[in-house]
Amino acid sequence: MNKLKKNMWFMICVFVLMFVSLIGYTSFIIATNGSKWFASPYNTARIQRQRERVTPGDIYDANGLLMVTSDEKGNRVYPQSEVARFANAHVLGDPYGITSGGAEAKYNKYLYGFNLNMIDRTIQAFKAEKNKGNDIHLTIDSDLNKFMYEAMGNNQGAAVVMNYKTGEIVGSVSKDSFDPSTIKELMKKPLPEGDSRLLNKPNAGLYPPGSTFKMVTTASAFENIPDAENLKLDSPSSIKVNGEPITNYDKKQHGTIDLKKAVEVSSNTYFAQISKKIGADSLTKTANNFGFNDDFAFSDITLYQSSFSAGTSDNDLAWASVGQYKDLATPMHMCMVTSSIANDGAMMEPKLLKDMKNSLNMSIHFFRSNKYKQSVTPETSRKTKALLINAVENGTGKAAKVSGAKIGGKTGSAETDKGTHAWFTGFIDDPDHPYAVVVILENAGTGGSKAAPVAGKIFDRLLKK
Amino acid sequence: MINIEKIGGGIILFFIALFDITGFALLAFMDGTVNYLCLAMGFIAAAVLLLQYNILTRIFKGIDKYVIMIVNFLVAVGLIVIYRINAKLAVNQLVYYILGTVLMIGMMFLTMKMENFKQNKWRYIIMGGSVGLLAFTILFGSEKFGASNWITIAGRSIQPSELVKIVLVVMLASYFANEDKLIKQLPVIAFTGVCMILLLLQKDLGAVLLYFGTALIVFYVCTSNILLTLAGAGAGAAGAVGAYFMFGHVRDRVAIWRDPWARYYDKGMQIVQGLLAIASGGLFGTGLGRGFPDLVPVSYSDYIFVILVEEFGQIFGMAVLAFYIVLILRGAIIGRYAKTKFHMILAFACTTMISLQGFIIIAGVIKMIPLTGITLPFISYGGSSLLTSMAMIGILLGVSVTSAKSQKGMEATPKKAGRPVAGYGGERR
Repeated sequence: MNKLKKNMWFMICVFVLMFVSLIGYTSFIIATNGSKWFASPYNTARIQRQRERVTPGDIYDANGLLMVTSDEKGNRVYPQSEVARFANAHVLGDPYGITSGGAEAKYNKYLYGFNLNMIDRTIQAFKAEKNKGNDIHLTIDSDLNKFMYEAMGNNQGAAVVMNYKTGEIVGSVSKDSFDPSTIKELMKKPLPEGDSRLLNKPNAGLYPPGSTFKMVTTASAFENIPDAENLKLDSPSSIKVNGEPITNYDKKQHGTIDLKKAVEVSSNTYFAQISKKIGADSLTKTANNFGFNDDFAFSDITLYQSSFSAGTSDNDLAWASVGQYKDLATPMHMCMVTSSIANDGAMMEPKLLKDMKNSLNMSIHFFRSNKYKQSVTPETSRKTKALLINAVENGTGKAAKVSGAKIGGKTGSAETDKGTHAWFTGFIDDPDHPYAVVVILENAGTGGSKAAPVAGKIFDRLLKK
Repeated sequence: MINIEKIGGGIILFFIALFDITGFALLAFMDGTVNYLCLAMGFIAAAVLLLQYNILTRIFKGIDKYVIMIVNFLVAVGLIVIYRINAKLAVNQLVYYILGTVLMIGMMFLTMKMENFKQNKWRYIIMGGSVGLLAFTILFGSEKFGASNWITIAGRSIQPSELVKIVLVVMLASYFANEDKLIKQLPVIAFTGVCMILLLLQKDLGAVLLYFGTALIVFYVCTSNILLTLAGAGAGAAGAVGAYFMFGHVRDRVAIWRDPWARYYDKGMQIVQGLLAIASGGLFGTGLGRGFPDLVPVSYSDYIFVILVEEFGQIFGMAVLAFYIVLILRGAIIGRYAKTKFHMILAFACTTMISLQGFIIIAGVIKMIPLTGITLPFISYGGSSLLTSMAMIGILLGVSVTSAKSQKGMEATPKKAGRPVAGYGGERR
């Protein structure tokens, strides 16, 4: 009888623990996945139904410019000009869950009032017939987005501007784009093969980073090779690593140069040699510190994973060190990499949500910038920064120069099967204008000749801000 | 610290009745018109609660009043949520609630009468009848929600696998309280096995798991035979693996559990929509009537927990789970002070059955374990389910009253600590 009672109590404790685990597990999955699930395309039915009861909130840009509002029926209305609609389309996303990762999807919980508390609801019940969701203010500068969209001309690609001190995304443009006010018609027939209109390229477009990756390799050299500044190596037009050739762009030869010059002229053969001195493990470590291979889980944007692999041979490593081989990165991530170099190695979490207002126009969101990780030491960061500033002053990035401003950056000409993507990634070294800019133009040519001038225009515009 | 026994049942009772009435009142005024049926349902539910509680606690000193309160509260939550999803079903459920109360009291008397049960003739008749009923269901049953575990009598569908649960707990208690040798316990073990096979053939996986778990746990607790328990668990695991390879629907369940998102359009939709409902409620819920239960299939039955969390909020969901925990603990206390070994095991088996059933379905809907269709005790819609659960509560109450009666003599002696020996209060009104 006593043994029976003892066993019974033991099992009862097990049952209680089972229920406690239910409480724990439920809280855990909601805390970790709740927002992600809510923003998933499977939840569109709930959002559509909520629209019958709640008027979705408005979306404003950083300067208080109205970007999206709703008519009496709850349909989305876009009061901006056509160019601005195209330029802001991917930042905003669409209310039907067709494009992914836009503000409409990411913040639908707030826009559609799922977070309204009892007090909010009571106040609204007295004020209006239909409840209204919360209004949202983004960090985006709508006019800057429009400017960037136009500066990119007829090219496809992406452009991103980020405040490297706070992580605020000030500009984010994806081309080809769409007009959100006609999204319903657009979805009636399937898009033709290869049409990337609905892809949010800054966050979801994975491109080989090309020579812009040399920023990472340079930082890694400073971290791992003593006296890397004065490491002089011969840089012919082509060298053989493991019997396979590594060539400079356009087969240029640069003679015996140091690291500063190598960044300035963007020499592949120099970096092929230095990557071997750094070593595959150390370079991979630096790349990972810069956020490559990270499963980003940011609250404000959905950012795809960038990848870096040193491969198995020295030849793989050499190509990987100059941003080819299997390297892939999103423009947003390259902007974060550049930002961290400009910001003493502190990589800020990208932020898109600046403020949120309830029905009494009271702010219910507390903006707080958040350091995502420390990519490299402040010392390494400063050394790398100096080389990047030199590369714009005297090197391949000249076209991005703005007179009177201190600008650093790195060009890239990423080779793919279809053509050469033109990259430029850079920053303004000025505490009053702490901006990092990334431009990628698909199949446009070299970074120095195509992307750098566009970036230069954006820098110029940012400096006038 | 607040002594809950000093507060007494009255105030808790008042809040449960208030919950009934306000819940239904809210629903009654929801579309701008007054729905008198709905208002009336709130008052009827409150009346059933108050009558049931007052009559039972007045007549039977020492009855476990907390069990009564928790059960009535859970049924009230169920009634309101079911009404919110489908008013017609809620009316049915209210009828089952009243019938369940009668059955509960009946089972209570029966349990008080039978302090032991060991007549072999009756054992075989009952077990044989149960197996016959389950077999009959396979042959003539109808299919609902992917399991063919229903039979229709006079226009009403009943679920024999629910009713046989009571037989199972009684038989387990009967054999393990009276037979010490394994060979003499064999009939009930065989009975459980046969039931499980029949249920598996009905594709009622939840019931299979529940029968197996209950029998195994009762076996372990009564015999303390760890070796055989582990062997049983191993056999169960082997059976599960076997079922995985033999039955397509078992494989489906596991695949959906592993990644419901990837199989959204292929049966994963229910789990995904359930998770989305849980995620969209927030801490305090969307508010009664402001969620979207029609997006979740079978929301009034197996999936009622997610609707509850969506509309009443996560905190309320946690509170419901906490109520189950208190119910389990009360069950344990009742078993602890039971008069006879038969009663002790009976109370424990009922507690085990209810806890396992609650755990299996809630863990299933939150994707902690593969989902097996089974009702949430007291809350889910379903006559068979509610009647069975309330019958088991009747058994628990019967055990508690019997033990309180038998300890009356002891209570006549002066109490030192002022705490009744039985420990479950109610005597000092």
